[in-house]
Amino acid sequence: MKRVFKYIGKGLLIIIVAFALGLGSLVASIYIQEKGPWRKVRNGPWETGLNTGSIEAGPYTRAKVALFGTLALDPSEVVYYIAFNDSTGQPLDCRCNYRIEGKDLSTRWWSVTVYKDFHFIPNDQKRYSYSKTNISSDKDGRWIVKLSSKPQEGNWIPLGDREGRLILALRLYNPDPSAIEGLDSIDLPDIIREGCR
Amino acid sequence: MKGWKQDILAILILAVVVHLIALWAIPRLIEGMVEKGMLAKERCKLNAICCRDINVAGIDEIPMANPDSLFSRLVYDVSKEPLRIHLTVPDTGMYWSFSLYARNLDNYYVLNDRRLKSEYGSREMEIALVGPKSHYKKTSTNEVMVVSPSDRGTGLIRMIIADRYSAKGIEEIRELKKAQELSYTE
Repeated sequence: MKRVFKYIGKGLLIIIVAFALGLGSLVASIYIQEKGPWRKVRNGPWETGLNTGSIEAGPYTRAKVALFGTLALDPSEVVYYIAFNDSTGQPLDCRCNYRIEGKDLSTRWWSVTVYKDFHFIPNDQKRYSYSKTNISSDKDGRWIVKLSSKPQEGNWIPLGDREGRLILALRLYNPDPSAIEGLDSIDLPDIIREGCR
Repeated sequence: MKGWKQDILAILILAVVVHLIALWAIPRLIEGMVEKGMLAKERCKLNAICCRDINVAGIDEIPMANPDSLFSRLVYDVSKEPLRIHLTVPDTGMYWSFSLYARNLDNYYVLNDRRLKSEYGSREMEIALVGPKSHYKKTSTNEVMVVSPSDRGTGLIRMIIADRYSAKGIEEIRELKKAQELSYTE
């Protein structure tokens, strides 16, 4: 009887360790895929996947897109740039104020959206984004979007007062061929930290 | 010592199996959750295009959703018969597209307003969506046949709003919501 319990215990231990190892290595693989240099294009603080939403995507990209960018379109239709860090490489933080500085992009339509933990930030203004068609820009087409929990003049996206992981998305709908060819070199907005609480 | 080697081998083999099964299952599980959300929470019907309100904080269930887009959704099952989809591009809006996703969330088909106008010379089109094993033959020359890699999947109509935050944008949303009904299934 004692021997039977010993075998059951050992079997359970093997299963638990194998599950932990299998799932742990999967999470690590998806994370490495997210952070790794392959299949990914970097442009300043922004990064984009070459196979996001594509039928050519590998299994790890497919799993990552399912988890963090469900129902994304193929890059030929929409290019999704994501930023987790500012232009100096510091992680984006909800307790800080930021200035996003850019100019009009070579695409049919573009937008900059702010997320906290992958979802919209609740705010009284119900403001989550600015786009090609609603941003205030100067006569040269340059614009600034301010991210802050306190009201700001001009293009302002409220950050709310809760902590969390801040993420920026820059979407290019029907990008010009020059933009697709130069994903790592086209002029994208800078993300500048302006102090923290 | 031999027992330990066998245990480690068993752990490694089982870990690889768990890893591969989870990798295969993640997109399908998420797609299942999306389907369930559409059919149960949003009260959409299977094989019918379902209009949805514009996203706001608190109800944006899909991670990193586009706040400037109005969506119509479709959960389809073409295992028994093809699904006829009638699409109409509205007059307003910055961008319109219809996209289809397989069970593993691969975006296997997308058609936008520009391509529809340039390739088909129209604002309207008929799609016959068929399953991977279907022997369906087109019934008219105007019909476009699309083969789904899986029997079940989802579809999305995206309509970009120029400025959802302005009074003009709110009026545009109202117009686009009316236009959503111009696309339907049979």
